[in-house]
Amino acid sequence: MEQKMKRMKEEYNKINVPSAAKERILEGTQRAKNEKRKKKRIQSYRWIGVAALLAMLIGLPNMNASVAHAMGNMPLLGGFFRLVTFREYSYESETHNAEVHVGKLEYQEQTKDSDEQMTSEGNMSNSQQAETENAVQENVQSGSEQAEKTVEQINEDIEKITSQLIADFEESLQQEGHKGLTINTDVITDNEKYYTLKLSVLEIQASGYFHSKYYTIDKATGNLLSLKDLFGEDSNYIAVISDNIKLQMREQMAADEANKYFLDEKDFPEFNFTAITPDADFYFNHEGELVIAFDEYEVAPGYMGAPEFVIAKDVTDTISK
Amino acid sequence: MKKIAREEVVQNALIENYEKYYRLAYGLVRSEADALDIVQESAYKAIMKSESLRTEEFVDTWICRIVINEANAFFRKKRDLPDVSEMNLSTEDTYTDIDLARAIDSLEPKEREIVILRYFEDKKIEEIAVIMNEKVGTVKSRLYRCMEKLRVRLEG
Repeated sequence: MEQKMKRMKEEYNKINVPSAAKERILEGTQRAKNEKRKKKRIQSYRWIGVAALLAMLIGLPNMNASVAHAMGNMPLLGGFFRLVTFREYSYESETHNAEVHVGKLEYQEQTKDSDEQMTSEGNMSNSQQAETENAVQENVQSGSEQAEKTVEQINEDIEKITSQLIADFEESLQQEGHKGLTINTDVITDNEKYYTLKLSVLEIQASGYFHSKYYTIDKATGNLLSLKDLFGEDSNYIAVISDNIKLQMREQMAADEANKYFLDEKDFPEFNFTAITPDADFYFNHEGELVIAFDEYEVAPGYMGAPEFVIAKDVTDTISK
Repeated sequence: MKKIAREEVVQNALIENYEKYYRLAYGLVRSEADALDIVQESAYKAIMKSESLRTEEFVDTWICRIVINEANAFFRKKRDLPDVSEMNLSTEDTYTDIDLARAIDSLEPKEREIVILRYFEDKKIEEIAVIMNEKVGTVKSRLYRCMEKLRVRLEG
């Protein structure tokens, strides 16, 4: 196989490049340059218009939704996170189907009369509002601001991913073959320390591909956490966690031949798992243990699904913040 | 980077690597005339959009992506035209090993992209993910699948 690929590559490099290729490149370059010099800055305004229109479209249907599902409560920040229904999309035909239910995160300040606030936000008098604000400590306030920023950042990210997937799906409608798309958002963890939202995507095209993304918010600061935030600056957490994962992979493969991970793989050496990245997907399970989550095919063949590894507390005890 | 500077970076890369972009286009569409159209259109788009290039080091990756997009647009157009027969792998084919050429032709366009980038252009999986605007996992899954396909065709 390797030999054949090598030969294939040699032939690829022998593809004859006609002299016209350079001329055509120069032609394309010149045409673009001429056109660019002519037209100038009309474009940017159009974008602002579109953005404003979009904001309106998104804002309207959700005014009611925000009252719908309130979940979780959250002492440290003085507010709580919740997931509200945001985007629904479905399509069904003989060959294509899509099922998209994507939520949007909201951060809500908790006030003394929070019940009232939820139903009639506008009724609070100015003095009441000022009182509440004074009562809130300064660091909590900055935490809240951060929480709002984080929520916005997560929502934008999810929106971007979802839109792209739906656009790809709609493009596939023109093509032959089957295609399926399922997207969901779920709250995985909501305890006094962390709030984790999981975005799961299942794409089916001949065979399926499952991948997900986890967003974990630190409730003490309102920050979106990445793996490196959990450990001390000089800690070798990547090596510690990666070694533990490799150990678990080897144990599982030894225990059952059906288990297979990309480790010490000779046929496709570039697939081999070497180490996690500083922005690896993770969350904390109910026992408060760190879980590292991989996408399908990332570290194992497709039939292994999307593997997850629980990192026992004693493994990271000494290096955790 | 200033606007003009970026345009220059893109233009230099285009001229310096034009053979590579032509091969990439040809490898995908397998016809000289079409490959020439694609490189011209890619050069045009690359200069038009040169302001959106963020980092100079990625200019090659960025242009590869444009070439691939153009090749895909070409396939789409071709599909929409009535009465077009299959991709021609006959007259202008410069591959000498028919088995290998057939095996590559048996791949879907997206799979062919990955094989060319990975094995012929020696791009890293992470780079391919950027070029194709896909997650690393997606690229791996496709690569894994089409290497299995090729293996069956070549050894079976």
